[in-house]
Amino acid sequence: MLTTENLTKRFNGATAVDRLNLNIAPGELFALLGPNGAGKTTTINCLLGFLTPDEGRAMIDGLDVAREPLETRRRLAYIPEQVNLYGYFSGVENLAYFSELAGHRYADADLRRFLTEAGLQAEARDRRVSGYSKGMRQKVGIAIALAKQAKALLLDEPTSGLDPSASHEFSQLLRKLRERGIAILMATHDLFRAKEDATRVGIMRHGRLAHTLTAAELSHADLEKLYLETMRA
Amino acid sequence: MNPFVSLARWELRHAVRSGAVWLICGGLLLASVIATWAGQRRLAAHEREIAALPAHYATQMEQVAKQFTPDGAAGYISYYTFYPTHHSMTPLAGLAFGVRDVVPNVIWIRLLGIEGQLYDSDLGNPWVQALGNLDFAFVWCALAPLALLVLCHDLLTRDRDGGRLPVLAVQGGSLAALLFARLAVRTAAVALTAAGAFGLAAGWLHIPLDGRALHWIAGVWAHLACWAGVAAVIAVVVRNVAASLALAITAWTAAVVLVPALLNLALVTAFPVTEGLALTVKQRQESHAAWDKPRAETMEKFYAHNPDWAGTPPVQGRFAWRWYYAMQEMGDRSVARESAGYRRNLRARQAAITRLAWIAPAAYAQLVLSARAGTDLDAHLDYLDRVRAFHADVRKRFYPLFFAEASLTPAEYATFPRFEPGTGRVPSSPPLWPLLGLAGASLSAAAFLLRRPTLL
Repeated sequence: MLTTENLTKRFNGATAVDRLNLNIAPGELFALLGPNGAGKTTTINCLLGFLTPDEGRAMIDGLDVAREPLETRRRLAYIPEQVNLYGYFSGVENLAYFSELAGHRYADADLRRFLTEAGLQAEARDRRVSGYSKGMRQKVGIAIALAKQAKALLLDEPTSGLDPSASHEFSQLLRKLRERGIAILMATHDLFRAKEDATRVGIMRHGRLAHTLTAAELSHADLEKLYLETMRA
Repeated sequence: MNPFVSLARWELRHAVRSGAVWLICGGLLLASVIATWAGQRRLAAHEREIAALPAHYATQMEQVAKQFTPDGAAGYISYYTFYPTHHSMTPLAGLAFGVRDVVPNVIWIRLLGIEGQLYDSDLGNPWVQALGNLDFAFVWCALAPLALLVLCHDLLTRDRDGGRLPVLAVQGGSLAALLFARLAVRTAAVALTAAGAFGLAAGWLHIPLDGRALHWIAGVWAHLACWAGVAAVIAVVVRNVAASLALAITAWTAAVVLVPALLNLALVTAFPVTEGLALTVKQRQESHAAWDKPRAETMEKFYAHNPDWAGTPPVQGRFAWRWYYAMQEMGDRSVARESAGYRRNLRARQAAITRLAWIAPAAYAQLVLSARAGTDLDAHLDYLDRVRAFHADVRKRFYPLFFAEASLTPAEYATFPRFEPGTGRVPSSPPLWPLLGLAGASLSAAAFLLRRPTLL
């Protein structure tokens, strides 16, 4: 579903992503680990069609992103590290607006259901978003992704700024989405969540995938050790 | 629901919530009301001035009658008789003063040389400078573009700066549709404010809502469409809100202030006109020089232009009214070429502006609105032509009396010619297509640039 073939992206001569090959199947969650500047966000931006690869290609559902950016975006949902919304709209209104942009008109009850599913407390749903905390905005972002009913989900540090219990709820949500057959690529610094949530874990360094591992076969300690060794190498 | 309608519906909610639209449209409405009030006062003052003319004329003729009782020489009476002429105003003139407050709207003329009497108030090319006038047209030609730019310069940069653009792009797909929905809603808000303000003004100033009024508001809308296009280009090419605001203000200053001023300078240089005062001086010198010339010489020149009177007995003695008025006419004829050039070049300046609309849309729109209100330079020159024609009629009426050395009794004053203001020719107005063309070109450019938008 989410594929990169020799994906390469350079900025002013520096290679941010270097011949990256990924293939994420429906129902799979691939966690991309790596330090800042490893190329995780650049990879996601190539899959979103916000950046054009210098070599290779990024594909969604068999379609080349660079050639058909609108079609491929239609199949995607995206949650950035920091979800920004319209402060003068309530949570429900923001969700209704973003959903309608994606071509979905939901009844009010459905919108509230998505927000509840994303973990937003009921009394906050009709308040203006300008008064929301970062975590609450993140939850609306999750609801927007849920409501889009996309085949693939791209997450860029989605749990940064969430408290541990919200982070845990988010993990459960990701599991549900996987069970629905959604392919998920998650860039993260959080080794613990990566091990807990992912089916596979990739460790990136200097734009390359240094290791690809099956999460079930790893312990937390093994993952941390391998990560630190990779960074030192 | 049609996706564009759905987008537009949401953009309406955005516009209603954000407050900026209310503030700006409210401000424009307030400015329009103040401008309409000023226009109403001006129209009323003009009407009072016109209404007082018959009484002033009557008082003047009473004075003349007192002096020439039981009768007096026609030439003498003519010397003291001033005829009022006026350039009437349509109610629309209250919304676009054009050149009307720098040129005379009432001119009193008598049978002396006409040239010196027309330029009591001189004119250069004042309609460009008239952009500074706080009339309804100024609000909608100069202020509304700025308002529209402030509302629309950041249609995309606002979301880019706010970090919402990536999610918007992933959700929405076509950013062009999003941009144009936003542009359409905000432009429509300003256009409807214009229509509302115009409706209010129409009620206040009793402007008939006929074809001309519709044309007038269409001119305002075409100009707004033009600026919506400019705003779209700025919204697309610039990466952040601060830069797009700076570019918007630069574009406005250039198009509304700088370019018209430079254009004015260029036109004044390209089409020089003799000053009205210089014409007056030359005409006076020519007529007064005739005092020192043989009477017959002046009369021979006069007969060459007025063959009907050729062969009348020569002027005897020191003074004859027919010789005095012949002297005046020859003064006019001595500056005929300069006078024609003056009028031709003033019209040429106005014609040049209509060809240069695309670099000064605000000045062009101002010209369109004042032309349709009958307050532009052409309308004023038409008025001067009518005054000139009236003066010629008065000459025709009195020359037989001068040559017959006739006397007039006060009872005969009632038969003196009266100026009919008339409507002149139907005011032709510059076309709207240059403005619509500019709007189309800039909107197409924005759509073209949005094919590959920069989202990060």
